[in-house]
Amino acid sequence: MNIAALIVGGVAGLGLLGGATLSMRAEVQAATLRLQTGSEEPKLKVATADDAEVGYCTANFKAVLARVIHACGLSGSGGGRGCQPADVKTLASIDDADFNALFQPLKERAAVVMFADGSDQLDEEGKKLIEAKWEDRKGARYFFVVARASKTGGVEMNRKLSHRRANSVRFHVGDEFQDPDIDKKVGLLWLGKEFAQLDKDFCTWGVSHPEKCDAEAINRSAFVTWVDCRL
Amino acid sequence: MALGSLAGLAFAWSSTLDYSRHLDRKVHDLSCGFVPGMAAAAGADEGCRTALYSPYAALMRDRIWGGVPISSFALGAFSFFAAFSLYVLIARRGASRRAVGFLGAASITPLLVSLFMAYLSATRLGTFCKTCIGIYIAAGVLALGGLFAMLALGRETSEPPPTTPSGMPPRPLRDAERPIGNLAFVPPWLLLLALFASSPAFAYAKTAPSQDARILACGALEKPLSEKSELAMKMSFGTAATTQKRLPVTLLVDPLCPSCKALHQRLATEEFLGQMDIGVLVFPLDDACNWMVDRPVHPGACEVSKALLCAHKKGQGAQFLEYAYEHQSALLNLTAKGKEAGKEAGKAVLGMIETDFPGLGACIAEKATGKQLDEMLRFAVDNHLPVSTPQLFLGAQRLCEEDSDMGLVYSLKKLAPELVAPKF
Repeated sequence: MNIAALIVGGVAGLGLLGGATLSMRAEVQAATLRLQTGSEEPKLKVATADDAEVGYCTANFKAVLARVIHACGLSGSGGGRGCQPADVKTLASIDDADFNALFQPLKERAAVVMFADGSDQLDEEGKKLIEAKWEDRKGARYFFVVARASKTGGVEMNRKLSHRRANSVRFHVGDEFQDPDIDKKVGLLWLGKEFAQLDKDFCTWGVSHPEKCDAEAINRSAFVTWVDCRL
Repeated sequence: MALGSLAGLAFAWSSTLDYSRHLDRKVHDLSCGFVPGMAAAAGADEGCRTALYSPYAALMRDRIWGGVPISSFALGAFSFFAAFSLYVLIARRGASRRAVGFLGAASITPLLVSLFMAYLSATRLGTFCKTCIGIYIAAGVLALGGLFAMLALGRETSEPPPTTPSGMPPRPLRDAERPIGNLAFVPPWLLLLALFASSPAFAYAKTAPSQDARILACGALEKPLSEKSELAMKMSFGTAATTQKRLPVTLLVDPLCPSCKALHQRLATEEFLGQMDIGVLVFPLDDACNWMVDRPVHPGACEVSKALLCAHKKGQGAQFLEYAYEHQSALLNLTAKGKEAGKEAGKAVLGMIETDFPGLGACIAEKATGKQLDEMLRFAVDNHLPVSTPQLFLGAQRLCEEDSDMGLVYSLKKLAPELVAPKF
């Protein structure tokens, strides 16, 4: 046996094995260190799934939305659901022209459910329109109902009528879809005759009775829409 | 032989370092090429990455996160062959016939392993990694060297005795110049080869970090689906053993997402798919229907997702999902071409789908289908899930994205011990 060759071979073998193993161990330990310290480039931040947020969600719009959802006790807190005109005026600090302007971008998303004079009863067309809109939720978080009453009659009477109209929509949605979370979704706002009356242009929107629509009739209504904004 | 061994060692070293680097749960560039250690050009490492994430890249994957890379065994084996070759080279005639014979015979083993791995690459992975090819070639060179050594040994035996001029004392036989050697050395050499081959693997296993805490750190469903829920599409793939109960899991996928396809294939290859009852929810990364993305990451995914919902109603959900994965490139190409021609991406794929799954068109266009898709998207919102696919949930526990490739077997076994890990 050639001892010198044996020594050279042995040393080379151990050297190669040792070198390869040590460098591998070093790489494993470096990976362990990166794992423990989270060093190197930060992890790519992945967005979290959320409700839709589209262009019309301006600060003013969100202020109104927030008031309706939270400040007026609407977010599933039992009784006292809904905002009155005075609330909107005070809390959102907005005049009626600006208030209506906020909803202009919702032309395709919203519908106006019309009521008969002095009535809070939904007719078939109105119910169908509400159901169609409710089912077209997509990524929206909140369903907004803005009920109105026309200028005919006294302020208090119209305020109450508007309130009943808003509730009619809410109850119909509740009865029809049996959604256990409905109170976390639906925001009601009832406006009497004193604030944010709609003009005749809204008759060109999706209304339940376009044939009966005029400047007076458009305000005997409930404006319904999903709102694609986050709060 | 020494050259082959050193080349094999270099490729195995490079491959093992690549594997080790990924223990930090991040994606790194691979040194995928015919020059060991040199980083591959962008996009040129697909074969190596496929091999890296494949079930054949490592052993003991159910006991160690990522397992012990096969290449670490090659590290030790090639070191042994390099050392033994060097000994034979230096010792020349001093090396015994037993030693040379052992080296020649044993040098075949890396080639046999390489041939087996090449067969798996060709038949199971459908691709070859350049670093692996480097190892195969090195093993071939080593085996060829071994063959030459054996032939040389044979020639030495069969050579006629050298003639000597008359009156001179006879020259000793050539055969007598190389000692025969002791047969008793062969078992220790084999043991030494085994020790060399296993010691880097042993060192790797001892050093690899524990990932257990991280496996559980990727969140859970806040509102898991109840067993009665009809939101998810219940699908089963493959056949489960009759005695085995399938594990209920929830899977969020985009049929046009390559990562979803890769996870599906991995689950199938690892034989987990047949052990699961999968509740599939679609989450197309396409802004045509998904308000959570601002661009079509996978154009046409909304239509294909709706087609999946419709196919499921006809009892063809699993079949359609596998079809979408199988034809993913074709479907994505169609949407790209459709877009160029000014068509909506989704419409471009409908023709192909209607040809292969007739009768889905009307259902795809129905409002109810869009609503069903919205509800699935809302599931992600309600659970505050990341906007990404795929997402696999075992019960409520989310499988980390980082655990869905080389750590898949270990992680799934941790999250669901009742799953049976593959035998290989």
